[in-house]
Amino acid sequence: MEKLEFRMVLQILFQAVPLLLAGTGVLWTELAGFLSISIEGWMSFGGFVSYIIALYTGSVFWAVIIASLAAAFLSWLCARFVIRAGADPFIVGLALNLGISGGITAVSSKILGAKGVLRPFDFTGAANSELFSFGIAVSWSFVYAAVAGALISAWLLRRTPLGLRTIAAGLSPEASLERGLDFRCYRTISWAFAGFFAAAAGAALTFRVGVYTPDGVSGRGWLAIAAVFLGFRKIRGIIAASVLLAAAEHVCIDAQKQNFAPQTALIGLPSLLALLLYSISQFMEKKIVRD
Amino acid sequence: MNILQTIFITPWSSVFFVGNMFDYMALLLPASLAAAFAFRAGLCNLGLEGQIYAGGFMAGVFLIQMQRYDFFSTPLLFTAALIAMFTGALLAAFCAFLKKVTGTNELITSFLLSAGITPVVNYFITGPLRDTSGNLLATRPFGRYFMLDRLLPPSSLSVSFFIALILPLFAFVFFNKTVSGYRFRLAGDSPDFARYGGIDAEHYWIPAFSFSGALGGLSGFFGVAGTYGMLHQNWTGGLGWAGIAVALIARGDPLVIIPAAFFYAYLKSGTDTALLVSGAAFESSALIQAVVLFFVTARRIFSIGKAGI
Repeated sequence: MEKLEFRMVLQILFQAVPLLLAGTGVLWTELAGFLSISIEGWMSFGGFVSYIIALYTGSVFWAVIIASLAAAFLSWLCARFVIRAGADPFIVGLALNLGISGGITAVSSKILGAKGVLRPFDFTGAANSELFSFGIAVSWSFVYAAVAGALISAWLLRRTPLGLRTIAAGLSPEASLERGLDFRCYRTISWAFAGFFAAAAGAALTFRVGVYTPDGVSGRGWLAIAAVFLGFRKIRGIIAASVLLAAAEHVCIDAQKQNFAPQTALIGLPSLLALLLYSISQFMEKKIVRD
Repeated sequence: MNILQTIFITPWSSVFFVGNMFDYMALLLPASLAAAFAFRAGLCNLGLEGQIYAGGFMAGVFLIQMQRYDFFSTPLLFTAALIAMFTGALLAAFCAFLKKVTGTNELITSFLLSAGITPVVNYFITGPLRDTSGNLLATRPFGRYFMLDRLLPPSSLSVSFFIALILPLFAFVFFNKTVSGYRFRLAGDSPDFARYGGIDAEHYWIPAFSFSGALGGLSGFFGVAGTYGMLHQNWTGGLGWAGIAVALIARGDPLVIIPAAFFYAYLKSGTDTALLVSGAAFESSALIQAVVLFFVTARRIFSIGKAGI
């Protein structure tokens, strides 16, 4: 029984990692007053690109780093486009989600001759199949990386000029300009952080199961955005919210196995639970402020 | 080059393609107006997809139950439209209520509610209500008496197009020619200024979001009773998101929504046609849509080159 509970806790922890990573990225953009809704797209990008690089290099570490840096750079470029062209960040975010999805399918088809689920055993030899089979070790690395990333972000945001100026850009762009700070610069940097962490989250999803699935992200980008608000826009809150949402997802999967309710209907359970938790947390915050 | 020709020329090549393009525009108009209503109130309705889907579902269930009364079809269709609007309004009003009482961000709550409701609707369509005589994940068809009249067979264009075309005109009159509309706009554009003028912005949250949801539900009714004549799984296919994109392109202006919806419907029709006719892959159409959205939303293309990017 104890072993079962420990395994359940581990599974919830591993499931929380992508939400924590993506949520950390979202936090940067939310605090900069420039919320990025393209998290879902960048997670797919990270999952796919890291998979491809790992296939050819044999290294999970470099695959994740390169994919995350590439996503950071591209996201930064998109932010520059939004600001310079006066584009709507929401539409650009939607366009990115759409474009990345289409782009991945096109590239997958061209390079690998496949559009759907990509399995390592379809391709190169024993070295690569070993790469994807040590699930537990890779999963723990992502846990450490996610927590480290969150804590480093918390320190950067609260203790460094970069972070404080990013927060200033979000609180009052006009006041920032008056003080000689170009808030647009910090907003673009926040999108770079969002791309970086979202891609890492996508890579975590891919390497946890050892295959790349086109719909593997399935709404987790949006749950990460919910986690930021559920966590009161603080890193420790996001950590707690990610674990809570992962637990809700775990409950949903378990409920589907138990068959006491229609499996299709239960897919929406994590979202409804997230809604309930978010409403309660905001109600409590409002009550505390009022009192 | 062939794909581009297919996308931009082929939608005009036959009655079928033209009709389907305008039919999609008929679905998009109320959806984008729904998003615009929320934006003008200073809110963001991200749950439009679920409101359209649930609204269409409730209308469809009603029509299926009323199959025997085909001699009474017109009032029943009207009732189904009201049910769809009520369903959408209820879902949206709940999110606005949460915002007012608990201070939640309606962007998050509307999305989460939509994400939670959609699988439940899917369960009913693919489970208890499914038509087991065929292979589709759909209910049985409503029958011709319970569908809106077709204008350009064999396309799916129906009379919903004319109703959808009038809605932005009503919205324009409301926003620009009425006192309530003026207060509504002011409360959305500048809540602090409105407060100094004696207008409580919070007072408009629930009505604005409810109306937004109602328009979403109406779009759902048009889809099930006008376009498809049945309920099938995930028939909305991103209609809610498209509505939000069109409302943003039109900057929330009801009259500009008409050409914006036409443009979006034209683009979608072209990319869907490319899939059918030239065998272009989904990814090509998704990429082209993304690129077009990028440039449509840009206000200052030529300033990108200045001072470096």
